[in-house]
Amino acid sequence: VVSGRAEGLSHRERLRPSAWQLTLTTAGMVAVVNSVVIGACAGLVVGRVPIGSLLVALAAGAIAGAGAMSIQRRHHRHASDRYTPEGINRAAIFVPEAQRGRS
Amino acid sequence: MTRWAQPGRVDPSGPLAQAFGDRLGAAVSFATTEHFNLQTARAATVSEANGRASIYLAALSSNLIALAFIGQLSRLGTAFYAFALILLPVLAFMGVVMFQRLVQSSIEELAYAQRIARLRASYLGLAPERAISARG
Repeated sequence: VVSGRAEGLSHRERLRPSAWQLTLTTAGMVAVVNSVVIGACAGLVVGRVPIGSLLVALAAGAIAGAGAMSIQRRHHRHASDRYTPEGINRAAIFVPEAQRGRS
Repeated sequence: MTRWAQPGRVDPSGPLAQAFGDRLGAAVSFATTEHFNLQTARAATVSEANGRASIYLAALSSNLIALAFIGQLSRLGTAFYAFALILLPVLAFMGVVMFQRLVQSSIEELAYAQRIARLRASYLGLAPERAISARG
């Protein structure tokens, strides 16, 4: 960001980090750990159901974890895509009304 | 070496410098102060993210240790499941909230970086001869 891109960044250039790059952020790390927690929670719940075997509990946990991971990644991607330089002069974490309507 | 080519000097013949006129000194002071404030705010977002991640990981690890103790004590019986099914959803909620705030922080940091880039662009507008050293 800092080396040699000042002019580009100061105008309308969009920053679109890759999915892997988003995973490397602190938020991405917390998303991965959180998905494991949610998956474990779902697996425990299904494990307590009398009809469920260990395999069913594992599958349910894996599906819940993957779903949580997918939702969090999509949210992260969506939030970083919504950000534009026009939003800079407002509080940086807010999305301008016009863009919120379009998304 | 002319007077304006010396280190720390700004060439007043540049269009941006001429546009500021007599207020050039004040404008440069304002810009550098703003740059400093933005850097400080950006560092604050990074340290906030680190602090939050540390809190979350500490809560998670202590939770897992507690689960291991209760699992041994109750031989994976009802107490273990009750304990786990109370603590894990709380931990999951904490993680979701933490994730939301970390996403906000990362976007906030991006905004600060972009504002700093704008200031850097204005510095280069004031002193184009500094472009090579500024891009190093």
